[in-house]
Amino acid sequence: MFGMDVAVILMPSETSLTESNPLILDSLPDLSPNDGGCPRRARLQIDLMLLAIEALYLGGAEEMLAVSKDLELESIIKNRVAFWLMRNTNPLRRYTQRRSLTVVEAKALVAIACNMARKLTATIRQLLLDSQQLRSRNIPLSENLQLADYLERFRAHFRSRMNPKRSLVAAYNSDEKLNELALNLLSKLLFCTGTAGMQRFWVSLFDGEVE
Amino acid sequence: MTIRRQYSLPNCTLVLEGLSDGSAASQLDTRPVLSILMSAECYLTGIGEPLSGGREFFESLVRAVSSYAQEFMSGVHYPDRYGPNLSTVQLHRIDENSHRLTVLPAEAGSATQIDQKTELSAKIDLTTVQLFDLVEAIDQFFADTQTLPELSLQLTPISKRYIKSAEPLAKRSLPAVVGISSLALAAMAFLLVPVPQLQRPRDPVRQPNPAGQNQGTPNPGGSGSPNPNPRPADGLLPGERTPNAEPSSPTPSPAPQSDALPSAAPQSEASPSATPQSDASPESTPSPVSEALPSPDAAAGPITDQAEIDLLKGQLFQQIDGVLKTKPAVDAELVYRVSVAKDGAIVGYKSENPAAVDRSEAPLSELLYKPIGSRPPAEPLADFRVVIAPGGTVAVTPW
Repeated sequence: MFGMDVAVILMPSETSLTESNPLILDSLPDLSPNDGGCPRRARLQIDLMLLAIEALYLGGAEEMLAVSKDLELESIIKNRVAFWLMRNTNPLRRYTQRRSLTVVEAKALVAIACNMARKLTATIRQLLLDSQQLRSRNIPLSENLQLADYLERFRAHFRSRMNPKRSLVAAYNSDEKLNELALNLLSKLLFCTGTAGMQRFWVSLFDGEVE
Repeated sequence: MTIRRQYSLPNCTLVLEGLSDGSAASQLDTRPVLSILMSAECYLTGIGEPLSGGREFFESLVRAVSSYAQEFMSGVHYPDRYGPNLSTVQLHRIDENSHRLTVLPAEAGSATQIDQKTELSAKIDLTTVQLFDLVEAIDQFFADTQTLPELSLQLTPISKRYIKSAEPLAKRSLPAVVGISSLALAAMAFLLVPVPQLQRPRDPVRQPNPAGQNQGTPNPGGSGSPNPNPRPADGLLPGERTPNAEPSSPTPSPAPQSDALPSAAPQSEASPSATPQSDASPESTPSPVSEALPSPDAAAGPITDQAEIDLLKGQLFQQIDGVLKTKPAVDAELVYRVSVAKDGAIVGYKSENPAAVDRSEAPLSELLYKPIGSRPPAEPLADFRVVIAPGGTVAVTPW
């Protein structure tokens, strides 16, 4: 595997590691304000987007690892545990990690999220259209089976993985609020499916974080 | 020969027509470069006629849409993401799932129209899916190197500097501000920062005063003693004349966005709830400046259009920020109430905290519009709260 070799050879040096990025990450500019890794909001947002993808269909977490291989990101996401640790840099997680997320790791997660979002384009669009129709007629979202499934899974994921002692998590104390969050994430996933979706998502993570 | 390029999405079709100047196209290239744009048409579902215009319209469209897409994704609202936004196309958030696209006539920038009510040439409310299709059509255009190659996708994050100044606004009245409000994740970001200090209680909503009876009203919002006969020392100084202080072209006044819904975002519990701004009708918020202006007939209503207020806010921030860079840092927080006319001119300001009152010369004084006698006596104004922090940051929020 070409990607693997390059990564192994260049491992010792931090700068050359950046240069050995898998091709897909080249389109994402380096924006991190300092070398301390990704801003807090970026870590939070990336993990929540991945959480929404998981709620879109069963087996999403497994699929993410498979996508990581397809995109030749194995040098960055070495295994399941590494992936889990990276996602747990989200400060709201129950098992949140003290370490930050490096820029390369964040790019890799963004690439995975956008790749999966693109595969799920039809589903995402349909759910958003359905939710919009239901709302415009004042019909509860639970009336739509697919939508209800997505929302229920999202709520379950969120509640089981986020730390309820964090005030932000505690603020999402009702099904309605979590549904709002789930739909908001869904519409952001739609924007990830576009031609420039990955760049748009990536740059948006640094709004208000750069000098 | 006319070249036609089309980018089609389910809810949006972008059609560009133009010419090739022949210089860039190689003979081998079967697809010539469209380098001179003659017309751009944007078909959106739900409207009969497409939005159309020339180069200026199209550049404004792609800039506004691209910028708003970033705002949608990050939750960070900044009207001037790509420089001063006096463009003809604007996008504003209405609620979680609707976004208002407005197109102003191209000639709105002319200074002669300052007093005329400018009509919008289009106002369309897009759902999020429709908005995405519009963004995607434009991103496909950006990705097409054979069509106006000099226009390409430029994405840059917003500086921290601006966000700091925007936060107090979000904390205070998040649902009221179209744009900042209600993106759940933006809300989350705001909740992550320490609990803000309690804000000074809002002014009670005053009874509307009929025109001509509004002189001599004590200022209920001021921290100083009420002053029945406002003098220059009390603020709202008319200053020396510097005509070049008038910064920008006039902006039209579309209908007030009284239908802007308060956010349903979860954080609304944590922030002050009902805010007077969001549902205040023009009649219930008389312009405070009209009380202090010398002319008795100065009784125009405030500017209520959210799009316009956003625009003015951005301009004001830039003006003040620009001036502050050349000044030594202030040693205490200064709070001012600043009145801005529709063309962006600062027509008055008032010190609102003791530190600002004690300061003989406000950093704002040189920005003040100096009337040459041509300012309309009863023009609509927008009031902003300007806070200059000791660190040099400026916060501008609607009053």
